[in-house]
Amino acid sequence: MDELLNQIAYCVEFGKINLQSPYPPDMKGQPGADELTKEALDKGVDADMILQKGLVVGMEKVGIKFRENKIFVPQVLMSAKAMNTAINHLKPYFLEGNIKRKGTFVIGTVAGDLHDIGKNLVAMMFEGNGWEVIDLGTDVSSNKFVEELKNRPGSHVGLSALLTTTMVNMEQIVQEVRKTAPNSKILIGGAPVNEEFKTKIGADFYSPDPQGAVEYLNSIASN
Amino acid sequence: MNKKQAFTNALRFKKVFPVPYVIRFTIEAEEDYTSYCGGNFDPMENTGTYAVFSQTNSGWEEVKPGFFRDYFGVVWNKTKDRTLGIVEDPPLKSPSFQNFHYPETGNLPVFRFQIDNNRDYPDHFHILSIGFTLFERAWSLTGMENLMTWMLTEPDFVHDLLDRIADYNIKLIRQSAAIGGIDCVRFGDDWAGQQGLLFGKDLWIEFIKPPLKRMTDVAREEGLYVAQHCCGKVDELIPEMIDVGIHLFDPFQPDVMDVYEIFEKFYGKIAFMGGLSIQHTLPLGSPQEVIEESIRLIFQLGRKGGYIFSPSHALTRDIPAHNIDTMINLAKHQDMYLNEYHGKGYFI
Repeated sequence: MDELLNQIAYCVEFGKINLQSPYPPDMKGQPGADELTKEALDKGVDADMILQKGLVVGMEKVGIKFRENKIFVPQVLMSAKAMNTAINHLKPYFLEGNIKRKGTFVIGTVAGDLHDIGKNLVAMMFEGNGWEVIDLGTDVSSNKFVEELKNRPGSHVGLSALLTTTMVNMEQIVQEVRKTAPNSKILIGGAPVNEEFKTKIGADFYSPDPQGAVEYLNSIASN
Repeated sequence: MNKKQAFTNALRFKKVFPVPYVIRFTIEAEEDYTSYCGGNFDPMENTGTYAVFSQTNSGWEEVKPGFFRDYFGVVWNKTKDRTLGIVEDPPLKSPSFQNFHYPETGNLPVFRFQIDNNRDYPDHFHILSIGFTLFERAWSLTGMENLMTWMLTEPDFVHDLLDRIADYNIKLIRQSAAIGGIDCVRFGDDWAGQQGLLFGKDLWIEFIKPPLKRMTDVAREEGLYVAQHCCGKVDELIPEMIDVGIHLFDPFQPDVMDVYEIFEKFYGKIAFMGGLSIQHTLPLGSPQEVIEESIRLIFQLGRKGGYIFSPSHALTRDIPAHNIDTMINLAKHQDMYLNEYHGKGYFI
């Protein structure tokens, strides 16, 4: 069983989606996360175990390598595709409540900003680390964040912005979220954002890379 | 010496004072600043900028309010950000050119801008600015996530796509050169984010460098300087750009690279334009901080040649008008600041 889980983790780490996928070239003709996850479930491996020992392990390695500039966005996207194909097999178990998530992470690009690749990468990393991710998309108003948090008590929030002209909208969102969900942690990220700005607007955490954000909320969830 | 000559001298690493500078606005920032100036503001005249740009990113057809179709037929949503916008619906949804017709350079609006600029600004350094040059043009056609994954899974298609885009750009450069009056071709492609390259150096060398080299060779053959714009932390590619034959790199963002160290390291091999932080100093700093940072750039880098003073992007609307005033005033009256800052050790 461990070998199978290691293989799933390896497929996620290196972006091997399925048997047909030509990437990575040195795994051509080998089964990917798709087939191996199905095989694990067929063999009776616990779905939660597949998530924790397969997908989470693989995506953590991806996050660390991305932070260290050892891999880049294309490789992360392939890993996310591999992870998603595995998660599709696990979906029924999520719905039945047989898999315990670390928590819920509500993420969006802030009002006025339509850019989404950074936000998408963070969402992928969280999903791959065992979090339920609610992606509100781009140009998200404070009202939309607040409404979502009302429906999902205990959730945490991620705000993304690419532009200096839109990062200022984070401050209002932080204020509104605090009123509705004072215990939610608010994480911020994006090109112009930094630690100083985080402190200025009263957010809880800034990370220059997705893995830092994941590790921060993992530490909150484990306490 | 007119502005064109001063700019050219700086590119040749000759000492030139005042240091040539370029100040440009995003659409929104220009509107705001014009309003602040009482409705009477001409960005070319009132800033005294040394370069005039004929841009391929202008003259697009507005297909519905806030939505514009570019030369490749891609519709951009500019309802939130009128300068850049985002792609509404990329046409190449699978790695195939089936049913996609490549545009002709033909009678593009940019050539009309070029003729107008030749007439109106004959003493300025004239830049043909090809926005969305390679990588950005490719992802605008395919969607960014598709392009990035296809680099790994469909490399032949991506090579083919980039080659076709380069062919188009080469036609455009040849046509522009035939019209005349252009001093420089500027390629615009954002390959990096704040933390580093989006797709890494290896994939850049595989996919971007060959077509970039091809375009650069043609521009140089036409007797033009070649500039490369790339936002983000891209310093590891500067030696590659030098190898390709690029003369000028912008925007030289101080937020992601040590501009002084890089300038010294590559002095004589590639010139730089930019350096004044559009992410921190201009929007968030005081006028005095704008002065300090500008003075250091102008007097430490500029007076040596090989440097064009400029903000590290077109000005955005979050920059207070008094900081724009300060920067313009300083750029126009460098001799005044020369005396004021004589004792600060910025001289070479």
